[in-house]
Amino acid sequence: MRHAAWVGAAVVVAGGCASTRAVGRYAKASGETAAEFPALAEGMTASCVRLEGYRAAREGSGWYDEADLAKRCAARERAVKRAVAVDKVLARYFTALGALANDDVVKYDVPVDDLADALADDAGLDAGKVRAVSDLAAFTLSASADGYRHLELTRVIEDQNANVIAVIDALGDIVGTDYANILDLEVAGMDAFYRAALTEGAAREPLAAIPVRDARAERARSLGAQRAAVDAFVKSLATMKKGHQRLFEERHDLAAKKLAGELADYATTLEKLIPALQDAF
Amino acid sequence: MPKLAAADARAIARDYHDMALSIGAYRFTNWERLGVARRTELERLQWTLLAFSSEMTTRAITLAVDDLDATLDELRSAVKSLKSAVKRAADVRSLLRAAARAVTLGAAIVAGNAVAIAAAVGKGS
Repeated sequence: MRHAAWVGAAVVVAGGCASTRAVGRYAKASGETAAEFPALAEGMTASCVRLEGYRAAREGSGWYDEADLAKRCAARERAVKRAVAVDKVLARYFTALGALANDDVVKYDVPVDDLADALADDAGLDAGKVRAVSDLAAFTLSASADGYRHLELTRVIEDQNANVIAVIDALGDIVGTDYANILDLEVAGMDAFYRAALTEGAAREPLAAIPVRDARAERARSLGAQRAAVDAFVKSLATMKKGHQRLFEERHDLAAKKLAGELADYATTLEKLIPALQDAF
Repeated sequence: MPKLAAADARAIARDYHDMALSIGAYRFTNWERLGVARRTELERLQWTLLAFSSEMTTRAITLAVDDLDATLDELRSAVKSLKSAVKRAADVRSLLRAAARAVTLGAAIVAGNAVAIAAAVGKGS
């Protein structure tokens, strides 16, 4: 009888883990999507460098080198580092969520030591957003250090939902609005550069104009690919957000079949979008 | 003191981008009529406005808010008014005047110079 009770308890524990497998898959897909952000984000600095290159080529003596352009884009580089640090916190959160859902030990591949540096020494930061990031980061640290257990999954989702949504929204604004604006700026700079150069010189040197037109077309194609990746990441963030909101709403019955089906759909959507992110960079 | 939040920086960045595009369109549409000196002047203004737009976008990414001395409504209204003046400029002189005022206001915002912002907002509205 006693033996049967132990077996029964073991089945309940194992069954609980299996029933939140959909949560684990959704969390894994979300974490992997978030892990694509650093490469995507680097493109925001690279775009600034190209825009400044076009500008430098048309203004003043026309002489510039990489160091000049990097200097002009130093603020953008700092801003991007901060955004990447924020994204890493989100990726770690989903790693922790996945581990708890699968009843695994919480371990991280990527350190977030640069978060403190990224958010420190700037009194001008938006306090609400910084608090959400800091609270989420504090949770990810304690999830690993304090040995959170599977049984605490509901409480974690409940406590962190507002922070997760706030961080996703902040990243959504950066990618959906700022990155899109950055690409628009580069297109404007590219067109101003190439159109002026061709208008000034194409009639005089028609052969020399051909590779110039080709270079512009190649650049335009590359920007189109980046725009597709940006759109894919915005869709991914929206999917992550919907998924976490559903987890929050159903937090007291995380094993529900309907929820599992929805999470499987979210995970599939994310898994399909990841290659589009990887291809552009 | 009012704050320039990321959303405001984004809106201003978009308006400066649009102003730069309007100047570029005018420059290429009237290329022959303008002459080298006017074309060069317009191109310089176009690049400056693009640079301000880029700078405001960078600020939005940093999750930062900036203190302002003018009210946000005054600032947004001044930028909108300049955008409209650049878009509807009937001749190159009025285009240059409006673009120069946009550069003055943009420089004040980017530098965070409250006095200059207030002065430029007065001129722009």
